[in-house]
Amino acid sequence: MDFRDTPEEAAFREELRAWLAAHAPAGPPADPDERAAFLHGWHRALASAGYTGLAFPAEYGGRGLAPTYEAILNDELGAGGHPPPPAIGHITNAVRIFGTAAQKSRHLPVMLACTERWCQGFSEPEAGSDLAAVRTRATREGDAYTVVGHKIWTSEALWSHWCLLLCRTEPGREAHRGLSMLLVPLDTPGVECRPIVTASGTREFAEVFFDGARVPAAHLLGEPGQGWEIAMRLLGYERGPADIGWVARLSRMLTLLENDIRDGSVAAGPSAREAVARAWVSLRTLQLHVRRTLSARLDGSLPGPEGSVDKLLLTEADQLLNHVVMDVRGAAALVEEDAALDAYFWSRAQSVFGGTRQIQHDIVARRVLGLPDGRASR
Amino acid sequence: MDARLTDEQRMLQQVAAAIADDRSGGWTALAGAGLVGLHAQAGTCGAVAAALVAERLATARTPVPYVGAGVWAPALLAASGADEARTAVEEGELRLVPVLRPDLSAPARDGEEGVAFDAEGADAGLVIAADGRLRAVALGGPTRGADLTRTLRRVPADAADRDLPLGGPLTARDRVRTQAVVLAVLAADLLGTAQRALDDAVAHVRERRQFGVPVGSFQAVQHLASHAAVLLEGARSAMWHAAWAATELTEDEALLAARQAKAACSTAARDAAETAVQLFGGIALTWEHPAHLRLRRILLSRAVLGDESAQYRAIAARRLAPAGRD
Repeated sequence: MDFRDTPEEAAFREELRAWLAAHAPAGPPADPDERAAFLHGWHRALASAGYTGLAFPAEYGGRGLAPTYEAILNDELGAGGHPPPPAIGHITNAVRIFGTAAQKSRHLPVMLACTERWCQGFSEPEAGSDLAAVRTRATREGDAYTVVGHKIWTSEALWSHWCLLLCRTEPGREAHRGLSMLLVPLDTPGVECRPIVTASGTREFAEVFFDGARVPAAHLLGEPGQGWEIAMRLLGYERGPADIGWVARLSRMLTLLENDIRDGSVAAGPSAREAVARAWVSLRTLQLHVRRTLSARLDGSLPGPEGSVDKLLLTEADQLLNHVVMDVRGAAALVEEDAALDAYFWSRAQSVFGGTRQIQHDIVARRVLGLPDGRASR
Repeated sequence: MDARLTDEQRMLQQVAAAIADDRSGGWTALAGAGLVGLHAQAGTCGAVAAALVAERLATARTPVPYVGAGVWAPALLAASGADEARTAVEEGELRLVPVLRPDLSAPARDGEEGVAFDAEGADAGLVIAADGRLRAVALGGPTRGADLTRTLRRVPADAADRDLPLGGPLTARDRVRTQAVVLAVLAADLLGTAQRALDDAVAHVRERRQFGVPVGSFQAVQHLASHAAVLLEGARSAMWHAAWAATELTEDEALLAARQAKAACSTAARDAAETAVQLFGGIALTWEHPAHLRLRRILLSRAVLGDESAQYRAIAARRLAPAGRD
């Protein structure tokens, strides 16, 4: 056991700090669309400097480093108050694990370069927590699938080039057994994205409609009927707080609040200071737990149901931190709405997206603690 | 960076579990296996070793005074260079224990009333005199303590000296280092106690049937158990880090890490043990059942050197000091 950086990790950290000192952008713009464009630019800058795909093989545009480097990236970005890295760990790993050689060499380098952005078409109006109830249908006709259906809550769809689509391809096979995963270019005729404006004004979510869109069969990821397995594997990464940059995002918020208290621009009495320390303990627990999770991958093993523990720790830390930020900063974000309110709304979404808090508890209870599935017995 | 337990650390967990499960051996067995004063003997990551042992002993609800007599006092003796006394302690021939302030929040002030912690079978208490030297004092009678697995004994303000050679003065850094080690080991004690409480309760709801089904099949019950399990896993990551940091980082960083883990484990352990009581139902609050014994142990370990609120205050003072003062 050694939480210290190896000499190689320390060199990487130094190199990253130096790069950040020279290249970190000013704060993100207030306008939600401008902020999205700003973040995309930041992600391309990180990528071109080699700070995406740290644990990916070099042949796909990665650095071929140990998974623990993701923790270093998150810690340094967060502690420096910089914007988070791109949330691509889940989709890139799904393609890495299940893709053909051709799919990997076509997609991974541009995913990691952040020049082609992806969204995941999972949820539907009638398939939220009950994801296996997906109805969007892809019918094989010759060398192509014809897709008909309706996705919702598709993050980043408006700004994406591709969609990882969970759809029903196997008629006669029930629930999760009838699902496959397709890689769909969003400029395919018959695909339409409509934004859903969030409470804080971003157009990050969208509905995606498929009306007879034809997708080449070569864009099938994995085998027909393997969609559920791929989705679960992907969610294992999506629930990893460092895989998609959440640790960086939260530590940045805490860093900025602590800086403001230290220099006196935010007044904090004893109870506020105690609350800030409590938020730090919670976030620090998450960071240390993520190091343990990433260390467990050093032998090549893949995320399992324990990933739900990480997601729940992330949710606790996020929601506690945002309460503290809103309480300590006082009414400023209410008099002139600012990024604090946006972050607060996102913290409430944390217990909904990527599997609700209740779904995560179901997974921990049944697959980690071994409690019986009540849905089967009643 | 590698946060995994090593093979040696896993083996140590097994040794500690075997000793804990064999009630006949007690202190002699612990000392014989080299587990008393382990943190100072084990070199690199010595506090991790001590924490893993404390966790296992707490899991088994073993009534041996490991944290006080097996870790804390030997750490003080190692810092003061009291080699003779330390050897006697490590061999199980002499048992010394720390004396705390009556509210358990910190080591006692010399010449004031105190409470000896983990004092079962102790020969004397250790206080730090104004000149930084250790002083051995005679112990008074036991308190009627809430934790039935550990003994507290009164130490009057005018407690008699026990004549023992106890080395040179402790520096401020020695004291901070010792505090970090002890906080990390207390965190481990909390975690071990709470993990067993929860594990037993989860096993119970898997079997206990109501409405014709195991009560553990109900989501309301599952989510209580899951929430506690999640808190404990996070707390375990914090505890491992603090135990590692206690010997491997500077005193200041080690203490911050230890406070972080003590806070996380205090919160998680009480929550998990209370959840266990809820999952067992009324029986857990009676003398027919051990659940409340674990809760009692957790309440005491939380209080020793400060519960989570005390840690938050200390952390805020350290992290939120005005720019330039730090």
